[in-house]
Amino acid sequence: MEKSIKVLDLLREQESLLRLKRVVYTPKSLENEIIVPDINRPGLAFVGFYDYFGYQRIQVIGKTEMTYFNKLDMVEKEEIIKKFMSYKIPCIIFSRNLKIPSLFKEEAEKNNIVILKSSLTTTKIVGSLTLYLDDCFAPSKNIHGTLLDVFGVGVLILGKSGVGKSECALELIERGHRLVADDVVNVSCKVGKFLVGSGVSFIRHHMEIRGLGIIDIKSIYGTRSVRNQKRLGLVVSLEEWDGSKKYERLGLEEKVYSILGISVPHYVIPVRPGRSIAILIEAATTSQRLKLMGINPVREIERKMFDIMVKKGSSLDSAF
Amino acid sequence: MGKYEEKVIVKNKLGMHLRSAGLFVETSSKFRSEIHLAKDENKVNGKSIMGILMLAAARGSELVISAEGTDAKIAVKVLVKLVEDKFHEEE
Repeated sequence: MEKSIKVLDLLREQESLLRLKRVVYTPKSLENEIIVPDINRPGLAFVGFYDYFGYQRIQVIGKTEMTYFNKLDMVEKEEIIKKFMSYKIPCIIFSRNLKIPSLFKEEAEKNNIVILKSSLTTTKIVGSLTLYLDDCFAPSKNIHGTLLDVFGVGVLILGKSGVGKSECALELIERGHRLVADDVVNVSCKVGKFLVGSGVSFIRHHMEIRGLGIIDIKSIYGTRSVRNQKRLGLVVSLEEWDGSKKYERLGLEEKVYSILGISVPHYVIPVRPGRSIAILIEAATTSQRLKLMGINPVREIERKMFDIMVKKGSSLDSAF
Repeated sequence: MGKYEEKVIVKNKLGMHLRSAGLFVETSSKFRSEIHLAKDENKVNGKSIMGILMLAAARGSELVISAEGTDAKIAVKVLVKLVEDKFHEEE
């Protein structure tokens, strides 16, 4: 489903941050949909270049555009405004509290376009708005798993229903870590670079434990036991121990798990009764943090081992 | 490995409330296939009670029950019937 936001939503969420004031609007035009996360400064349109004109974008008009505009004569001004406003623009924002010519307002009313103004500079508006729109349009999906903040790392625990994700999460919470979401984790890709996971609506911070039912973690363990959202740093897949399968023994190969096109370090941990998965996850997390700091224990061991082999005069090639 | 899906309308007076969701999960958990339940653009794991509750499907909502696995088709058929039988609630 294509994402979109209405001009009304933009106002509701960014009005105070961007110091937006309504200039030309109607209940109908406030429903105008913004379907792209980009912003356009229509300087080229003002000089008549309409190839690839991003009319679907929010238009931000600043001092440069208005200085040029104000130098034109009445006929040229009318021509520009009429052509510009003939496109299905959702919304125009004038920055720096610039004076908005009445012809702009008239044409906006006629064409169902919203005009807003702000006291902020064009750069500030474009910057803030870009971040906000990126957030709104960030690709996202719901994942079945449990997301926790363990030692500052966002750990997404995956596995079939019944393998023990929730019980393991409960143990981690007992040990002082924070729950972000259980069962339904909404993961979105921010600025195309990293993943952020969060809980969804009213079930946020609740957990379903077989035998106990649905429990409210925030009420039982307090506000220190929960987080609203967390960047994903690690994925741990729990699976029932399969005797015929090869599990990672050395830790040389670094597996990754891909969500929405972003790769996250991945560990696959076999589950057997009597083993504490929570402790394994803590170990996996600290291990991951060490790796990020540049310390790789397996490589260290390998290096020391070769040192000893070489010293004892083994036939190993010293090019190692 | 099969994939199968079917649409169904929620007919219960109280919609997909706690008891219905519980019964749905109890039934879906018996099958080996992966089961998903979708309402509009929200797709959740059909074996997770919290996911189903999150959908907040009221009477009249259209749900898509899909399954992937060896018993996909029978799983969907059984679950669709459960919803259409109003979860055995109303006589």
